[in-house]
Amino acid sequence: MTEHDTTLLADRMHRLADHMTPHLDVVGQVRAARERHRRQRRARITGLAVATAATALVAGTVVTTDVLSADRRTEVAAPSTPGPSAPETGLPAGWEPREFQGVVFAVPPGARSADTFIDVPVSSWTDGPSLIWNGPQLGGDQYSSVSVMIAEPFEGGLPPRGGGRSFTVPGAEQAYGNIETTVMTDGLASAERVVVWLELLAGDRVVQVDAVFDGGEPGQRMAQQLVDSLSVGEPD
Amino acid sequence: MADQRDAEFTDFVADHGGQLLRTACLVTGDAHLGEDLLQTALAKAYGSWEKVRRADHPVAYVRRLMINAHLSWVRRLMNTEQVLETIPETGSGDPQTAHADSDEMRQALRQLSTRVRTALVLRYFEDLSEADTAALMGCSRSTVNNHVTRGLAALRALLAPNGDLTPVSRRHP
Repeated sequence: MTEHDTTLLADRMHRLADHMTPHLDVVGQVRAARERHRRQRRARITGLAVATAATALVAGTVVTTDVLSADRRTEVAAPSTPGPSAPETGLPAGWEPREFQGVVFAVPPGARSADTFIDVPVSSWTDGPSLIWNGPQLGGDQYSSVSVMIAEPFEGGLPPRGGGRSFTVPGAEQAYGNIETTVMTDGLASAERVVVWLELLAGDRVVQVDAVFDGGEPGQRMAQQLVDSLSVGEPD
Repeated sequence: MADQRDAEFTDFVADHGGQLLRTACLVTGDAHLGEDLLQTALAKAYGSWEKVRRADHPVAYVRRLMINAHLSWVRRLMNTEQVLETIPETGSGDPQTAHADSDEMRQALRQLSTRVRTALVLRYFEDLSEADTAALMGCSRSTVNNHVTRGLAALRALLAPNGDLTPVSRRHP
């Protein structure tokens, strides 16, 4: 499409919006939003009370079991339930370990400059401190990169996203994202790149991992190695 | 305190609700769904009003809540969503009526998948950059680029089989 075409498209979208959008009832919308919020809040409080009672019941059961089986437990050399699996310690040749606020990962060789730290407080589920690995130039204005950002959970969990799948990352309760091959456009040139986007829920924080590597098999391998190197521990 | 929040929130809805509703109607392709989507986002905004009002761009914050709610709905409904692959019967009504252009455009937008339609609306209706659209949709810039490229190609085929994007009522016979 030409610029003229996209201008026409924007114009037609605006006229469609004029045509199909109903009149905004400000008072009604405010009242509905307030009531909806209060209903949800009441439901959350009720849910929390039920969950707390259930936790107390489970905790009581565990304590009782421990007391009853204490002698037997001392005879057991290892816990019957395995703990979280340890992260891979062996890195591919040339890869360097990184640690940022308890998030451990590795980056490939070839950084074009030192890591960038953005030292801001966690302020929402979309914004917080981050570390950026500045990778080599891929062509044109495109660079390889890995960024790890710490943010708040979205309503207690991972932000609602589509198009990904679940991953297993040591130390994370949930991990969702994808490794995608996409075409990135830089001016007139387009090239295939491998993109990683991953969100990890760990306690009261969400770790957002984004990376761009070159396309093809090498990029796919790097993306997988980055994901495999990830683990989440307690922040410093 | 609650009175102050209500007053500020009401001012916010009065000032920005109209534009948010227009976007909601376009991304959902339906006026009623648009109203419901806006209300979902406003309820979330009301619940975290302190964060919204402290944000650099409160409208952008609420728009983000809205788009996330929309894409979340889509994920839940993905199994029932139907994206038609055939070219719609554009101009099935009277092409001389004032609604013909809108009908044609609405039909065309509704042929697109939800994520593609959302990317187009954010890029060309909200006039957001590719990076801002990606941030809003929770995906990479390259994914937005793919959505937009595919969406524009589809719209060209749907709206302008003869290479003419001019609204139907203004086209010369």
